[in-house]
Amino acid sequence: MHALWRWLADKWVLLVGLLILLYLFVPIAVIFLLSFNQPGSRNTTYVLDLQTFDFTWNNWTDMCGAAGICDALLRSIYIGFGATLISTILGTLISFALVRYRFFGRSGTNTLIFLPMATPEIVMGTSLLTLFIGWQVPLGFLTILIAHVMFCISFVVVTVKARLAGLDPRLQEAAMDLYATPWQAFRLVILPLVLPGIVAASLLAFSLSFDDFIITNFVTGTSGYETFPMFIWGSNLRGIPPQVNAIASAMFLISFAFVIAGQLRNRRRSARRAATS
Amino acid sequence: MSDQDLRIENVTKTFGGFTAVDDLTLTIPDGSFFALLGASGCGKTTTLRMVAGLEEPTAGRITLGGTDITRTRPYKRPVNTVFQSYALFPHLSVADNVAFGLRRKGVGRKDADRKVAEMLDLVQLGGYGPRRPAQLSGGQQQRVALARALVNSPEVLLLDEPLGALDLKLRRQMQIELKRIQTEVGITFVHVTHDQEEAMTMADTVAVMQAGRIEQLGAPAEMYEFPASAFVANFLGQSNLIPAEVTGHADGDVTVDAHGNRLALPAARCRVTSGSALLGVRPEKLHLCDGLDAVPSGHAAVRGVITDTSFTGVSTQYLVRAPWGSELTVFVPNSGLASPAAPGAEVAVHWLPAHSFLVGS
Repeated sequence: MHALWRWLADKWVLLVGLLILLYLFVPIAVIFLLSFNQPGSRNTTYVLDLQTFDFTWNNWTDMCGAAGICDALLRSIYIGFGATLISTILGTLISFALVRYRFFGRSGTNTLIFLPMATPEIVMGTSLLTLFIGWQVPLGFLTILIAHVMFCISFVVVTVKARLAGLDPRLQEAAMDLYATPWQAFRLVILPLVLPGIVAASLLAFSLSFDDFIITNFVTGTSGYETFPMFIWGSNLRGIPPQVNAIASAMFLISFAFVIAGQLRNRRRSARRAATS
Repeated sequence: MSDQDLRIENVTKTFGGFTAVDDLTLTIPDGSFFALLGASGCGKTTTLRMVAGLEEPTAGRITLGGTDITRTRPYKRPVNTVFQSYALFPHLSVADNVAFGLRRKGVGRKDADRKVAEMLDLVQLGGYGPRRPAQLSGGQQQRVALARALVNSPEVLLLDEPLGALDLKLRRQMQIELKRIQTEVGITFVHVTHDQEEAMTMADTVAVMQAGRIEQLGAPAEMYEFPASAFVANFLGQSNLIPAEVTGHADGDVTVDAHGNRLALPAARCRVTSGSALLGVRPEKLHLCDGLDAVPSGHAAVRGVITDTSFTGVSTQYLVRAPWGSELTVFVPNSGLASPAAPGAEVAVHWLPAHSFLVGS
C-alpha cells in the first residue's frame, strides 16, 4: 500500500499529463477513424460504432466527391494565404515600429493592437458587417479578406514583438559599427534573428484564418462565398459528407508533419553543434 | 603629436535637459592606449559612442587624422567597437562573426578567411571558427568581440567596459592580454572603464571624467602620486584627506595647520597655495611608530589610537583615530619585520612630506 502511494506521488504529474494528452487527442482519433467509414443505412458520418463500421478508402481517394467541398476548401486556402501574407507583412512592420521607435501614440497603439484579440467574435462580425453595408462594400472575398487580416494582425504583432523585444539593440549597432548600412544590418543580422518569430506568426495567422467561422459568416453576407468551415456548417443541416472527415484528418496530418519536421531540424542542429564542440 | 591623432574639440552632448558630456576637449595620440575612467553616468560611454558614430554631438567637432568625422555615419568610419555585452551575432559562427566587417568592406572570401584565421590565432582562439558564440565561455566571447573589431585594422579601437562581465581572475588575465595585443598591433585603443585599477594597469594615459568633464589627464603613476583634485585622489586608489588651512610659505615649502598640527610640504606638491585645502597622503605612504619621540627626523607626524586592524594578506590595514576624531587608513606591508599593533594602542602616524599633496577642498 505504502509503495503504491510512493509510486503515485512520484508519477502523478506524468499521469495527469498523459490524461490531458488523451483528452486532447481522442476527438482527433475518432475523426481519423471515421474518415475510413462508409456511411450507409446502418450508420451515419458521425457515429463511431464498431459493430456497424464499414471500412472504405473512398473518402480519401475521392476527397472532392461531395458537391462543392473542394471549392469551399480552395476558397479557405486562398483567403488563408492572402490574409497570412498581408497580416504578416503589416504586423511585422508594426512590431518594428513599436519596439524600435518612440513616437506619439506608441503606447496607445500598443494597447489598441490587443483589442481584436479581446473582442468577442460575434461583436466584431456584426460591427464589420454593419460597416461594410454602410460603406456599400460588396460582400464576399474582399470583405472576408479584410476581416481576416484585421484579426490576424494582432496575433502577428504580439508574436513578432516578443521576439524583437528579446533582441539586444546593440546587435544593430554592432553591425553598423562593422560597416553594414542600415539595410544590410537588417538583412544580415536582424531579419535572420527575428525570422523564427515571423514564421511562427504566419503559421498562427493561417490557422486562425482557415479556422474562422463566426466573423466570416457575418461578412460574407448573402454573397454565397462559402469557406470550408461554412461549408461544414451548412452541410450539417443536410448531413455531413464523409469526405469532411478525410479532409480534416489530412489537415491534421499535414500540420503534424510540419511540427515533426521542425523538431527534427532542431535536433539535427543541436547534434551538429554538439559535434563541433 | 602626429597627424593620425583623434581629436575631440569642445564636444557637448545633451539628452533632453541632461548634459552627458560638457564642452569636452581631448586629444588622443595615435597608437596610444587611452583610458576614460569614471563612475557610471559621468559621460565616458557617451563620449565613446560619439567617436563610434552611434550618437551625434549636440555641439563641437570630432576629427580623426585631420578629417572631420563628427557627422559621418558609423559604417563609414575607420573606427571599430568592442561592446560591453560583446553583441556577437548569435546566428553566425565565430569565423563569420569575425569576417563580418571584412565582408562588408568587400574583402574577398579567401583573403577574409586568411585574416580571420590570423586574428583568431592572435586572440588564442585558433580552431574555434566553426563554433557558435553561445558555445563559448564569457572570456572566449570577449576575445571574439575583440577579434571581430581588430581584424578590420581600424585607426581607433573603442572598448566599452570590455572586461566588465568577466570574473576577477579572468579580468586580470585579459588586462595583460589586451595590453599585449595593443603593443603588437599598434592601433590606438580608447578604453572606457569604471575600474581604476584596470585603467592604471593598461593605459599609457588615463583621463578621469566626472559630470561630463575631464577632472585630470595624465600617466597613471603621475596622477596617482599627485592627483589634481580631491575627486581624483579618492577615485584613483584611496587617500587620507585631512582638512587644512595654508598658513605660510618658507624655503620652497608650504606650511599648513591641520586641527592644530603644523605640517609642511614642498610647494611643488601643492595644487593650491592659500586658503582652505585638503592635505592628502596615500595609505601605503603612512607609517606607524610607538610615539612622537620615535618619528624619524624630517617626517611629518600626528598622534592617534588604533581602532581597527584587518589582515588582507600582502598587508595589514589599520584604522587610526586622529585627535580631531576622523580616521586615517594606514597600509603596512606584511614584511615580517614588525609585530602587528593591536586595537587600542597609542601610536604616531608619520610620513615623508614629499609624499603628501595639497588639493583644493
